[in-house]
Amino acid sequence: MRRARLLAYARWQASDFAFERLPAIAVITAAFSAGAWLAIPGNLRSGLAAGDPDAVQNALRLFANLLATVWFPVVIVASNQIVSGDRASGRFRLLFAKPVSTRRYYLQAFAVNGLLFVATMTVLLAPLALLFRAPPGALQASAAIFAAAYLAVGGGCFLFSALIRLDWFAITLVAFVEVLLDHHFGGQRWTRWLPPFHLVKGRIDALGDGLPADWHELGALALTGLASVAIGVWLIRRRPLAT
Amino acid sequence: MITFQGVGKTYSPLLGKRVRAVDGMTFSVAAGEVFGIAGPNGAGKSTMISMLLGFLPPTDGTITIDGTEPRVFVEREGIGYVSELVAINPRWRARDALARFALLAGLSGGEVERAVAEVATLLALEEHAGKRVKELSKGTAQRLALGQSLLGDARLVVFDEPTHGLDPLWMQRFRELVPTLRRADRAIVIASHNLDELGRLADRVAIVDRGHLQRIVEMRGAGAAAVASRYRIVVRGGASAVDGCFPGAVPIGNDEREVAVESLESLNAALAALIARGTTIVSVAPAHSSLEEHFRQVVADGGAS
Repeated sequence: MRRARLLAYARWQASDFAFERLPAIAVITAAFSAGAWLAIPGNLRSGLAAGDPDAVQNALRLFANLLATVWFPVVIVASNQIVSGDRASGRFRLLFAKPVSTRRYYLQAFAVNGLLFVATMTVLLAPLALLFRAPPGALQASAAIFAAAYLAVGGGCFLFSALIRLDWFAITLVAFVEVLLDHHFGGQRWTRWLPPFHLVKGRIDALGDGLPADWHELGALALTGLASVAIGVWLIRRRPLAT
Repeated sequence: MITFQGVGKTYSPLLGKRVRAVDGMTFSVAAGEVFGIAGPNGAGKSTMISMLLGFLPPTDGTITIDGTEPRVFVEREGIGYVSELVAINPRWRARDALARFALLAGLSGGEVERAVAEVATLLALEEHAGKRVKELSKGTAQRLALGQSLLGDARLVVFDEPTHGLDPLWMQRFRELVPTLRRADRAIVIASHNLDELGRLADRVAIVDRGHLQRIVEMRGAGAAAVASRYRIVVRGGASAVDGCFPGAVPIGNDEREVAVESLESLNAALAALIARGTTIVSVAPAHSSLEEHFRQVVADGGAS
């Protein structure tokens, strides 16, 4: 009796990420980054070159604006259709005729994608952080935000992926409604029960203001995501692979 | 090894009407056996296979493999499986696809390379090893799917339309391969439209139609000696002589007739009369295999498409 060598298989899941998701993430990030860099006013550029503290602070806000624009689409690219893609295409049939646990397989795929996603964003944003003269620690802080965002929104996407094909649409809708509700009713008690997606934007704004990372908020995002992933894994077991 | 006990499956879509795809199916398959499943389109074969692999739960009844639920068995031991639709990521290269499936089948580093090389040689995939799946012809993709099913050492092998898309040469090779896979502790299930293939390979064939198990036909042993009801007779020098001995003979060609008989005795008596009249018989063969006879009785005569 043999069991699948799932840990060794992680390199193939990494290869899938590299060929199927990374190019789109790179294109989106590069396009928004180029736009952000080109939009910098001339006086800010010269101020940055001269090391003017006000210019550096403004540039950090622009860097944060870029993160605020780019984080959602890249998280969706990194996390969508992890389960539903195999279901819709029928690829699950040959994969899961092997002695492999579907839950472990998809949990590992989510983890591999997450690790590579954060690494990819860090590498892609590093040159930009240099150009924007972002202070030391800004890149690490942005990596922490991307990790929390991947867990929260990507985890939600994973949950929907275990249920429906249009997981990316469902999570986008949920995130939109949550941000809208938080904007209008943010102070009320019942909003505590909503997934705290709006915290991502708040953390990015704080980064732009040069404030330190709020581990409590990042933790709330991560915990929300882990809960979604746990429910997703439970659903994978419960919902038939074939329909 | 495999037990279907009163198994039924009803599809209940949110929109549209419920469909009873499988109903009251009871049979078992023993280790060491090659078991065929035959049936027309929409008979319920694919649903049966999906339930056997644990991809779908039955609505009624129970399915067990070695006494456990199918999904539990598959996740514990794995199944050598070829699906009707070869769904492998089109971006993967053939060699890499085999290596991936080998890892999932539980092979370790050195074994993966060796097993992939063996399978590639067996199925003549070496020249296609570097191609992406989307670049493979239908037949080559089918061979790739067949190859991955042979990785590992599964005690249960399930072939769903295994020769679909294969050319006659590879169909023949598949027929030669199956007997080599036979083992006392292994069950092989083949679902196919190709009755000739099932007749050659299977020990028993289940004929399903409209979701019901209509009949199980023994292809080996005493049960295999079923008598065909129609034969094709080829004679030398004009088949009109056949008409005198076999009333109602149907012309097939210049020297060939298809005749209906009630028993082997009546067939032999009529052939003896034919020979006595000085006719040279070239060949006598059943017009249909015994499995085809059963299939026609169950399916065609039952009015299914």
